[in-house]
Amino acid sequence: MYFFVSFIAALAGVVFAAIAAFLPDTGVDGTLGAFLALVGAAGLLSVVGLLAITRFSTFARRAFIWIAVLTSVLTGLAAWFLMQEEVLVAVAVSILALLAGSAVTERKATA
Amino acid sequence: MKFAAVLVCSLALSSSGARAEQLRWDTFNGNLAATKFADVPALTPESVAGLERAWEARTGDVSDGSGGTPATVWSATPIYANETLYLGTPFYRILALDPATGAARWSYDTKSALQTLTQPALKNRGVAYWESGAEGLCEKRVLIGTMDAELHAVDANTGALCADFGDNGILNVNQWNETNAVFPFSLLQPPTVVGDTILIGWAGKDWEYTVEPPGNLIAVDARTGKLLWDTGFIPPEMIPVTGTANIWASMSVDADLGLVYVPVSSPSPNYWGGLRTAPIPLATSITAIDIKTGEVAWSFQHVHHDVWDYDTPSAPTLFDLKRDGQTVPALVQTTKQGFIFVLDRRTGAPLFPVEERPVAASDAEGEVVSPTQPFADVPIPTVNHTEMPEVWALADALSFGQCSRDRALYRYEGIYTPPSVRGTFLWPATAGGNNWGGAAVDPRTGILYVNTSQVVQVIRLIPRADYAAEVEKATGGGPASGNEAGFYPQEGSPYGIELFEWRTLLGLPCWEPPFGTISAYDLNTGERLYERPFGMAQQWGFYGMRSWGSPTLGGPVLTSGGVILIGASMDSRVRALDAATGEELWSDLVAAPAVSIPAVYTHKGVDYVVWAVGGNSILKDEVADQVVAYRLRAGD
Repeated sequence: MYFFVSFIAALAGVVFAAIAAFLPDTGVDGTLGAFLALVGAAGLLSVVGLLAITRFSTFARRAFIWIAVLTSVLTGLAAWFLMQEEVLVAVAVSILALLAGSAVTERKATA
Repeated sequence: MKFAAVLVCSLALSSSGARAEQLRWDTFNGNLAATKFADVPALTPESVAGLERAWEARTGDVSDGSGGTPATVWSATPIYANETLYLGTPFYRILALDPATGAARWSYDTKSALQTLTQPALKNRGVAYWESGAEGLCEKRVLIGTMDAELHAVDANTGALCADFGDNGILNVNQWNETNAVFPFSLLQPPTVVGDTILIGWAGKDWEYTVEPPGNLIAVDARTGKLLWDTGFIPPEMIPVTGTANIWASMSVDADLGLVYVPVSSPSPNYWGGLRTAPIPLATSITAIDIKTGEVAWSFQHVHHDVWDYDTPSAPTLFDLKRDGQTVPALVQTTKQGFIFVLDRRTGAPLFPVEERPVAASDAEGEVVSPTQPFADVPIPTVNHTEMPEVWALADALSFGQCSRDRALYRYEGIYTPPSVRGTFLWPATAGGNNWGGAAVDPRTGILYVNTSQVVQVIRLIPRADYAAEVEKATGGGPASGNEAGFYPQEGSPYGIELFEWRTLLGLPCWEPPFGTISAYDLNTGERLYERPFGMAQQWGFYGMRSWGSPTLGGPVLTSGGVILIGASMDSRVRALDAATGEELWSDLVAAPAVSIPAVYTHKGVDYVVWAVGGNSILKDEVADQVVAYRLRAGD
């Protein structure tokens, strides 16, 4: 469930970032910043997708989660300075859901 | 009984206090006094949050320069007259729109060649309007100029050419471009219409040549286009070695005094004056000219021997100054340097002290700059030129000290430090400070509102022998390829130039913010009431912090309800501010920076605010063809 929410939110982030980058009159369309945010959102989506469908070792899983955190922080920062609140919210929801899902998974594994 | 009395009083008040209306907005600055004041009491700090889009139109006349058509920039003020909204476009067309819906009524195409003959882009600042007072074809006219020096007059109701004007409706203004005609008189700023007289200034090609057409003001008959008079601003003996000192900005008029007040620009070449060391008293001045005769009534030169391109950039604003119980007919001129000059508009005498102070000498070959320049400390200048902004620590750190190294490298000995081979900081920048948007003034109180850019540039003189090689090194092309990289030849002088903003390689400004401000002044006392950052800067799409502000182009309008309406910022927003504090009350995202002055008018009892949204590459590379109108939501 958590991973599903994370994935959908990350997907929404990509869509919102693409809208900001490609639709006219968004205030940031066609800019380097908007494309960076799009790349970041796409990166987060990829990591979340990988984590959802692939069984990794604990070490690799944690590494991917840290990559996702880093990606989401940078993408969120970019979204903040681009004034694209929808991207920011989507990325935040995605990473929070991912972290929550990971915590639950690890707890189950430990138990 | 008590209730009935209150009701009667209320009805009496509401009927006696008839709703004020702005029934015309028929010049670039709204009116000939250039106050940019709209008598619209309904637009108040309390109500303005209820502004909503009434309509939006796209002209289709836009280019980013990537195809075969040159890029456009657009800073037209929409004109409201004859119950119609008129716009000029950068493709030199007139559009007549329904003021309430934006629906097209008619359009007129000058069919002017879309070539950048004098400007880096196709450019238009709007249209002018004339009416005779009679009814019939061409008794009301709309006028548009072109970059290739034609002035077209069309019927305001139909868009048909007025055959009695010029040659079948088209006046070739270039017929009076007889001396040093290295470029045409580009008619980008709409002419000023006073009674039955049309006053025409023109724009040239900056930074290109040494000897250029001498600046002048041309008056023609509004009905026929026949020349009435032609007043020049360059002394005859100087014409073989210089040029321009032209009028490219808007003008203001006191019909009672019979005077037009013109902002005269700097002479050519802009950044080296070794061939023009004799005085040119009317250059870089505010000059009053008799509308009937063309004679100069008075002139106030605010830069002597200008080698900074500190053109007088906007129409002076006329207002009545209150002092010691007396009312003094005054004007106020905002400038690229940030000085605010307040003059008696009858005589040109300063109404606050203006002092000649020593300035730095030039070390360029052949250059002899003026040893002094006029300084006005009151009102406080909009740009603090007593000291340059500090190096911005953030930019310095991110550029590994580039900004600090630059600060030590380039010359700066206060405002008016002359251009040099070593490189000189231009603070304020050559685009100001304040520019063509000028200021708004409340005629009831004498309070002035103005947006200001806080930008540092570097100007570097390049010896002629090195110029071609430097351009080739920077661009990989010949001397003609240098403009986009900031190189300009100043042909005929010993120096070309390189001009650029003081930024890091990543594009961050090297100077401390704010980069733009909005401020208010009481012109009766000279006191500054407030100054605060305005707008948001933008780089690569990322917005700066609000406390950093934004460089601006375009101007404000003040409503009688106490609201400033302004676009102008890099961030492509139009805003409403509380005039009392400068605080932002409302904003809307538009398609590009709105580098124009909005039109404010009351049409069929409804108040509208309309911006032409076109962008300008001085701020950022974003262009548009949007016309957007706002009105208060019903019930607000």
